Order: sequence, then C-alpha cells, then structure tokens
Amino acid sequence: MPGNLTESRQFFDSGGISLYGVMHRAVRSSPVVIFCNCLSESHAEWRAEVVGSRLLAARGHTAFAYHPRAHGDSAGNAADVTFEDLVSDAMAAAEFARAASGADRIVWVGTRFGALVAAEAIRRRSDTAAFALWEPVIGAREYFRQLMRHVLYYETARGLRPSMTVERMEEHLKREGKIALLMFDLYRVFSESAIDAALEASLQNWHGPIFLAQFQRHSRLSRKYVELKSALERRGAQVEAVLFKDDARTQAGIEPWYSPERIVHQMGEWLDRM
Amino acid sequence: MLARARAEQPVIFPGPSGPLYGIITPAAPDSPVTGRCVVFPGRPRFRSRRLPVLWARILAADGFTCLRFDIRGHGESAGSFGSGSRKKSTGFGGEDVIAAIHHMQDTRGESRFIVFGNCYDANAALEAVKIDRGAIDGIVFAGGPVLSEKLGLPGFEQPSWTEKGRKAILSLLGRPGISNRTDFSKNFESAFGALLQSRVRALFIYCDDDRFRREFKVAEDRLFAKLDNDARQRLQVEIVPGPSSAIDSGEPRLFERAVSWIREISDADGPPRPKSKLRKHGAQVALAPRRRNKPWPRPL
Repeated sequence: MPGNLTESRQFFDSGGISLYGVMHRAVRSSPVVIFCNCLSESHAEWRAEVVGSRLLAARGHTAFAYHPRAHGDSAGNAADVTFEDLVSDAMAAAEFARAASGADRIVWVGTRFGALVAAEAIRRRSDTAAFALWEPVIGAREYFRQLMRHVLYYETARGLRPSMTVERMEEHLKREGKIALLMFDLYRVFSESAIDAALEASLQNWHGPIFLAQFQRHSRLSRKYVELKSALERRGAQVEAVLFKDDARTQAGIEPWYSPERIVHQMGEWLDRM
Repeated sequence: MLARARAEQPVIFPGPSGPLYGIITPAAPDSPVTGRCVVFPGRPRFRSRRLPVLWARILAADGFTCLRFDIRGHGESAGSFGSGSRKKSTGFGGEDVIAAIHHMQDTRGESRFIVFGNCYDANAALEAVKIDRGAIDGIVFAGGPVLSEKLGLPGFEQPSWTEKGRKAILSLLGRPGISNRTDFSKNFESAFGALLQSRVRALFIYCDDDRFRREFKVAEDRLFAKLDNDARQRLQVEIVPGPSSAIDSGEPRLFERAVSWIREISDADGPPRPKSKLRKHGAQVALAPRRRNKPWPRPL
C-alpha cells in the first residue's frame, strides 16, 4: 500500500480550528470523495479510510480524508465539541476539498458516527453526488446507550460486577459532565447536542445513490440496515448494499476494518457506474 | 498549546517496509532548549483519546521537539498489518522507531532521543534500544506486555487448548520448570538484555489494575529484584492507580507521570549537548558504536 506523490497533507481551517487533512489526487478530479469519521471506536477505522482513499485514487477518483476537531492530529478540546461543530468541520472539509481539487460535486463516505455528521452536511448542501455509508450509526440516542451497555459487557467478561447500570451511567453523564466509555469519553455537551441526530431524518430529502457497506462479519445484512435500506428506497433513493467477506486476516482474528479492500473495490465499481 | 498545534508539520520518511507518516511538533521557540527529541511510535495517531497528540504539544511547549508517527501497517504508514508477536524476537516496530530517529537526525539535526511507547508500542520503544547506536537517552515503557502468553483472566484470555495440552505433556515428561513457569516474550527478553547493557534510562510504568500489570509483576519479581544498584538507578518502575494503562482508556495519571519523568531525566542530564550537524545525503552520522561485542546477559 504505497503512499505516493499524489498525496498531500496539510492543515486547513474550520472556524479558527486547525484540522488535519490528506488529499489523494487522481485523474478524475470531480466528484471528490470525502471521508467523514468521528468518535472512532476502533483506531483501525482511520486505517480503513486511508486504505480506501489510496485505492480509490489508484482507480482514478480524487479522495480527501480529514480529522475533525479534537480528533487525531487536529486541534480542539473534546470537552467543548458539539455535534454542530462536527457538521461545521465537515462543511469546511467540503469547501477545502472542492477548492483544492477543483471538483464541483462531492461523494460523501460516512464511517460509523461520521455517517450522521455527513448526512447532516448533505442536508445543508446542494453539491452532493452520492453518499456511501460504512457501518453507519443509525441514531445517536440508541448508539450512546449501546456503548454504555458495552461497558457492562466488558466488566462482566472480566469477572467484575458491573459498576453502573445504563440508567446510572446516563445520570452520571448528566451530573459529572463526562463518562468514560471503552474507547472514548462521552461528554454531556456533545451528548446533549447530538442525541436527536438520526440518519433517516437527515436524509429525508435525499434521493440520490447510496452505497451501504456492512463491516460486521455476518452472512446477511443486519435487521437495522435492512430497515434503513427499505426506508430510503421507499423515498426514491437507489441503495446498493454490500457485505464484508472474511479473508485470511479476519480469520486470524484481525478486525474487519483492517481489510476494507474488497468493500472499497465494490465501492469503486459503484462510483464508476455513476 | 494552540500555538504548538498550529506549528505542526506532517512528514513522510522512509521506513524498512515503505514510507512512514508522522507529525512533527517543533519545540516552542521561546522555551528553554532541551536538546532532546521525543518520539512517539503509534498505531495509529488517530486515537479517540489521542493522548500522544496532547503530550507532544505539551512537551513541545516545554522545549522538546516531538515526532509522533504511525508504525508500519497502521494509520497512514505503508506495510502490512502486524501487531508484533510475543513468540518472536522482532516485529514490534523497533526498526520503524530507528527510521524515525534517523529522519530527525537527517532533517532536523536532532541528536538525543527519548522514545515513549504505550501498550505494544512500548515493545517497539524497547526493541529500538536493541538496534540503536547510542542516540536514545531514555524510553518510557508504558503498560506493555512482557510475557510469551497472555495471563488468564476470568472469562477471557485463557491460554488456548493447544497451549494447555502442550503444558500438560511437558509436565508429564517431567519438565515442570517449563510447564509451570510463564516465560518472557522473546522480544522483551532480548531487548531487556540490550537495555541492561546500554546506558539508556527507562521508566516502566503501569496502572495497578491493568491486565498487563499482572504480567509485569512477574518481571518485577524475577528480573528487577535482581538488578544491581546502577541498573536500579537507570530503570525505574512506577505503578499508578487506575484501571488500564492503555492510551485509549484515557488514564491521565500514568501519562502525566511519564511526561514529568521525561522532564526530570532531561534536567538531570545537564545542559544539552550541541546539536549534530545535519547529515549530508547518504552520509553516515557519527554515532556511538554498537555495544554488541559481548553477549547480552541472560538474566531471564
């Protein structure tokens, strides 16, 4: 997976905050593919986006990936970040990527919680050509509760008595302003600002092409994604869903985010057809 | 802090498995000159709690130039995925750390280095000591694994059935010394030997309730208890309260202590040595010779 001279890394501005971004230039400058991720549960998600950007660029599609504020190499304080800030970062990334690449259209790739952010950016823009969802979070409220349940499972698996119920965790978050989840800290400011974010609601007016990739290792599309697909198709969107297929690495216990090649290849074909 | 964040520069440098990607945080121009560069191997830089990012900026404000970079196969760096194996003596990324050091010597004139590794990256830092030619002053070994197999925890991480069977057979063959004893990982064993032979200072730091802390207890009992006075002064062990030593757990006490240790050893080593001249393209930098003439001790 070589990095090459078509990649350029720089910091760009979003409301006075420096954000880290990587542009992968290719033959086709438009549309530009923008990867949007945040609240990463696994540090392999960013790897998947890097691999995805490079493979798409090798296929001829210009791609841009960035770290939103308080993530990775970007500036910003996690305690102050709101959902609106993340949407502003996505909008700033879109402006920067369009200006730097010369593209007039955007294909968004929303990874996990980033799908909610990208969907909200799509709702506010008129330059979106298509939307790819990588194992998207469907709604923030249920997602936060699910992450709290994971803490209970983790403690139980370690033979410990769970320290708090989910309800207690929610109270703790309200009272203390922050709760430690397994892979990141959830802040009250962020939780309250994002709690009503929902993919279907943000995509209410979106009827364009959608690529839905499930990274979980299941033989079928999960029920929540079947429901999402049906809901979007009822509104006239064209949804193409693909499943992650095991390879030697995942069979050896390495998580699927480290092996996005097949899904990126399918996404490349989807982009080529557009 | 914000000024340090704004001063950061993305870099790409050659590594043994292809280009490695990182970020340099230059030392604040108005800070006292420490003459030391702190290298953070990471897998990858994009972490949710991103403590290396924050500590790099804090240390840079104190006068340390910092480089954080992705180990091969992680984040943006080339190469295939590999988290290092407890069964092998190499492969944790020590060569990548040395490549990062060479990059900072070549392009920034840095000459003295401190390597800060957490979890498996702690093994990368230790492994780098084995390859280093005298440029490393200190390493932070924060919450790294040290044994050849994971210690069993209630509910998970038990040895595999194959491993249990192997132990049972060895026990039946009358080799209880092997079957009843947990070995150190080959990587840790050889790199710790190199550390003992070097003049490098090290801080081994864990949270008291961390799963790797249980592994390290074995090392404390069997290795550190036998160190001579000189080694005891160089190799510090500190245990801080907290559930997990991993960066992603966000336990700040461990990392605050590690950062203050970096400041301490920098102060203790006195005035900084003059920075080396930039290496000319292709020229070898004059480094202390490797101390590998005599075999490393086998205290394990």
